[in-house]
Amino acid sequence: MLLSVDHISRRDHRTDEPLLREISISIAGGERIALRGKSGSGKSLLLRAIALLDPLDEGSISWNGETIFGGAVPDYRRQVVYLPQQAVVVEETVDEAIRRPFFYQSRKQRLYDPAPTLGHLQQLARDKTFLTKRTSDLSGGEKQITALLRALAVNPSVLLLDEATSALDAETARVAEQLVQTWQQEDNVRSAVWVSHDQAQCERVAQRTIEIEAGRVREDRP
Amino acid sequence: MSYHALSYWDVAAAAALILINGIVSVVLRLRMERSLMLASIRTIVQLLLVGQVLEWVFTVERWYVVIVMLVVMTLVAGYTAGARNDRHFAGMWTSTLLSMGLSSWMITAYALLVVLHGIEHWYQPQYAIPLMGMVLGNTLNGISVGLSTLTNELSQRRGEIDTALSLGATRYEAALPILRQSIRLGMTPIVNSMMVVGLVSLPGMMTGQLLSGTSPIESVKYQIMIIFLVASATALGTVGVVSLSYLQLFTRDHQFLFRAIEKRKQSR
Repeated sequence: MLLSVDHISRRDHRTDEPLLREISISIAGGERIALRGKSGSGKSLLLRAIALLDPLDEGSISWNGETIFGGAVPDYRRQVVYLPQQAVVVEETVDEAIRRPFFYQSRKQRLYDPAPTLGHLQQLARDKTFLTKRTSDLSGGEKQITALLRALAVNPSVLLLDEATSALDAETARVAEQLVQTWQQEDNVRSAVWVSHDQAQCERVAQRTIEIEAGRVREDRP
Repeated sequence: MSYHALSYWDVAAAAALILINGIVSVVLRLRMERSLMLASIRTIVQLLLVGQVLEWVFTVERWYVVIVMLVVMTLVAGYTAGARNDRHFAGMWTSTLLSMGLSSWMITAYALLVVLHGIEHWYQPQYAIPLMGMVLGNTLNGISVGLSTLTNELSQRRGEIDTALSLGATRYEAALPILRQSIRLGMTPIVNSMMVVGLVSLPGMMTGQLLSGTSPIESVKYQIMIIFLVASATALGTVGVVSLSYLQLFTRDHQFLFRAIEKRKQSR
């Protein structure tokens, strides 16, 4: 098993309201999963929890059989990348933004290879001048593209896409889905978890659907 | 050189100048009469009380009395530094008091034991209390600017921090730009004032020494010492409060506790 979420629970410490309740999920290699549920059901919180971005009250996340905590977390996040709906790009140019993760300790040993990024850009029908664009001039959609290119560039094993294509036009969103799919086909351990309000998108990208309701898994079906 | 002592009548003559403020307020209907009144009374009462206490501390001249005095001053300064911040998190007071206390006690100790090694006792109130007062007063500014920059930036730049973390940054790597900015801003005022000291205005302590009849060169030497004490204590205090707060707001699992920072409810 690649990634397993083991009985995780989380409460809002101010109101004591439960946010995630005893969620257990296993993600094997090569899976394509859609996470569905109403607004406020806990989809984003679950993805953030899988990326270990918030402290949990109970339960744990393991990666290849090892429970992840403390010093192992940055290395784990190198493998399991969370992409939020609000793509945050603060560097000067798109190129700098994409290279940024390669300055982190957890990735120091790896070098950035620009070739795949250029290929992705071509598929997105953009030339390489996109890389020299100033990030302050980017639209919401372009920021999402930058964030996706950055996530793909770091070669993760799992992508957690939290409405990560919501600001893209239908056509570009399709290309983004294809980019993720191609990335998955390159190595059969790679998995993607999609949160999307777009029913059609979910059907296109997923083989397995997990339904979340009030912080619980209501249904997990292929 | 001679020193002219003021009688209470002399002081009253100066205090009468508050009438100018009063007239301005009445004529322009600023409605400041009440606060002017209160401020004047507080100025007089607070300073006379402190004068009484200091008069006593100076006469008894016991090390434990001086220490108690310094502790009280430190607590008040620590409280003030924290209270200026409009955001709050669990552990903020500990971080503030600890960095305030450690930085100013270390630097004042250095001043009393090393720089002023010729004085009779390290606890001579004449030296210990004003030195500590000046060090605390300035460190307070550094700490409060550092702390409020840190909490404001952290709560406004959550997305940036989470993005760095989710791409494999350690908590230190994710927070570093904001830590740097907070420390730099905390240290800026003292550096700026070092640039213009003596050109724009004479520092208060030096003015006081001149008034009491000390020669200008002697006063200047003291002033130089004070500035360096203050600058180093500010640096230590700012780095201290920023690092301790960082440790409270980022977990060992490299998570940013965004929800731990609360906007304080407006009091009054």
